[in-house]
Amino acid sequence: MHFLNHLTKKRTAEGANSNVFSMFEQAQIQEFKEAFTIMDQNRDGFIDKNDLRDTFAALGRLNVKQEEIDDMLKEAPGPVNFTVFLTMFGEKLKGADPEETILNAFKVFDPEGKGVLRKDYVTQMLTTQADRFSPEEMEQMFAAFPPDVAGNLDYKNLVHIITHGEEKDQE
Amino acid sequence: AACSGASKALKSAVLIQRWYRRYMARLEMRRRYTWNIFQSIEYAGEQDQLQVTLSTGISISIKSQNNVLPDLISQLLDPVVDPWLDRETCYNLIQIPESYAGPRLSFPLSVSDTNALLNAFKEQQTLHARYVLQLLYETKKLLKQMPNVIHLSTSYAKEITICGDLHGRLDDLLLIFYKNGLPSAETSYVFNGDFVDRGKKSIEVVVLLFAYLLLYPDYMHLNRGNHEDHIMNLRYGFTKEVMQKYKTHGREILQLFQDVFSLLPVATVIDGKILIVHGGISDQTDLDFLSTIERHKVSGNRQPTLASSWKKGDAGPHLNPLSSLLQIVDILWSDPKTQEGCSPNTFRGGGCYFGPDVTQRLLLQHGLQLLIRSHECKQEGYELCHGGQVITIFSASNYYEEGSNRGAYIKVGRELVPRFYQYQVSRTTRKLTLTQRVRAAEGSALRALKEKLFTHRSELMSGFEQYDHNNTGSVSVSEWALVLETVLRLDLPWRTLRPHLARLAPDGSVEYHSCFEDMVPGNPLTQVTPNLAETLFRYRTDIEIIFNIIDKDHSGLISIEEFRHTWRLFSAHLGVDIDDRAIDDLARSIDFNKDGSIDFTEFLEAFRVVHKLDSKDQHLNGKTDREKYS
Repeated sequence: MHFLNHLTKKRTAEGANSNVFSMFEQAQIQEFKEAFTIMDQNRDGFIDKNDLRDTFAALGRLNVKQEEIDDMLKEAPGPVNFTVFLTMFGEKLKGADPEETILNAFKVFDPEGKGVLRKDYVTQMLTTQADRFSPEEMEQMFAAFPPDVAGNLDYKNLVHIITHGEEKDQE
Repeated sequence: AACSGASKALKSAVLIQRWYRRYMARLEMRRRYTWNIFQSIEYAGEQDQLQVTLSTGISISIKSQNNVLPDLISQLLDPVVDPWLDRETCYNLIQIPESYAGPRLSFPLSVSDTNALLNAFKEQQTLHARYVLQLLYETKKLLKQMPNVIHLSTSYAKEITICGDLHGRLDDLLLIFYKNGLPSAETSYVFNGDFVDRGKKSIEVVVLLFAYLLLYPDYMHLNRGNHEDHIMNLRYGFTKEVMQKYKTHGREILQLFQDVFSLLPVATVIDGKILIVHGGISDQTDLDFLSTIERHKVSGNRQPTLASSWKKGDAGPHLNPLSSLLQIVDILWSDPKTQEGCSPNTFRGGGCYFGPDVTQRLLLQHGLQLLIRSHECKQEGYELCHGGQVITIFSASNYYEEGSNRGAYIKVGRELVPRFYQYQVSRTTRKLTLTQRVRAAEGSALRALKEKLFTHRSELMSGFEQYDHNNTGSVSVSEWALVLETVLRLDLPWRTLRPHLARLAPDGSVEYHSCFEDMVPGNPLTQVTPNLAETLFRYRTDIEIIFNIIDKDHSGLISIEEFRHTWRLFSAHLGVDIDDRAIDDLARSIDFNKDGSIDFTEFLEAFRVVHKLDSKDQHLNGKTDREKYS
């Protein structure tokens, strides 16, 4: 997953924490253990290349290059078992960016404040820079949140639905 | 200025990408644990049925059975004597009323008969019991001549289509026939087991399959699945469906189905290269031995059969009837795993988990190149594993829930390269988005899970109370999860699911009463103790079948005495301590019109669990006839 990449960099910058379990409460650790188990599809106690690749595929990122996965795994001190997982994911597994933050991120690309963005502009914005979206991911987003007939994506609506939909599903 | 503008754009892009990907990851997580819930509940139920637990082939331990009602039901059904069914006159004696508007079959079957069946079933008609019995009788005769392992050749059949589990989904079968063509010389089929149970049209599905088998025995081939078994049928709906659709002749029909199922071949091989079995293999699988077993004498499910074949010692040339049993159970129940080796399939309670090394060894040993199996629902309708040496094919779309999965079938031609064809039966014309599908499936899974909680309420409450020393009404999340896991024996991510199942107190502990708040019984029976109520909820399906059996004149009523008698049988079998007085109270309270007979449809209505948040159900649950008679 992509925030794995992001976090890996963060972790190496701060140095490895050997007693990662002391960072969390027992109950939290149990919860992360469950998330780990869900991701560990073949139930062997490790998240390996196949688990990562399958998860990518399920998220629309097909044909992830072997090198990319290897790079990610290289950052980890060994195979990604639960302890390593906890170090990498723990803090980021829960919590969400507030709606405001994401809206402001979109507004950077919509300086006139129209509330919509052109579909091809969004595509360019997300697939050509930073943590690039794959064509499949882009397709998936437009399938879930279709632009209107004129080709405009209502990003306010998108952000609202995801933020509040998530809230509703968490209750 | 341009510089900071660009970096701002970059940062924003990263934020959006990361945020959206997290959302998709969360959705994927929900989809996976929803799948977990469905599968756990499904396999936990199946586990009760398999009475022989296998270790690594050295010793057998018999697992104690939790649900003994199938035994009781079998006892009630058994009185119908076997030899009668082998005689031709059994179905000839059945009169068909003039008013019967359904299809009339003439044997030997011709294409006009199978077409008539197709049209009739599309029109929701039911085939008359006489024809069902005759069809089964003819099928039994045919299957007796077939070997355990069928060998097919593409030089004869050209292209062969292989389908997986159908589970009574007539729509899926009709869709396959529509897309791929009806069985014929040009279009050969192999159906890989699990034709019945769960879906509402098991009879129609299996009648069509058997009809085509009789019509084209060279182009139509059926493998046995683990659900082609009368114990599974009792639990998973086929028995109930037969008893409901065929009130007069249901018992005879079930008896014949039992015979036919046990005569189904267990494996098919194409061109000596592709092996097709329903479940999988184990490291003990021996195709040569498998060919020699007297398959109809061996059942993967019944302890008495095992015992009796031990006594008779006549389960084939091999002296050890146990190994015959193991061979068949492995074929019907095993699942592939990614790690190497072969281990007992504890999830299912029978068969093995077989690794890629086991597959490779078997394929090599018999000169095969591919194993095609079914038995597991897959989101895309099919899945490859073991480096492409194993294919799972599943043909019941929307198996767990509307939109949960696609169905698929495989076609192979002379080059023996499998091609996959997917489909999905759809009730709505509007396509659901991924989020909507996940939410719908999740909702359905959670409801099933909540019902499980509700029907085990007493056990769960005493579990919780053990940890709640100060009677605060709450326990820690860990304790809550532990109790659930111990009582329900479901390996699920309880903490992740907690927000959907129970409320937290301000101090972060779980208010365990809140687990049961959402659910109420359909018609509350005030005279019924909680323990009894739960037992009735849990065994609703079995109880309904038993009532249908007892109700010989199909009036929907049974006498109080019959009710009492049956009840005593239940409590003896279930090991539930219900005294006679409680039974009498129960009988009196449900004899709503006080005429000495019990309308068991109303009785069962009480044990339909209602979800409070389901406004549709609440509407139906309003006033009942009970109010009229009190």
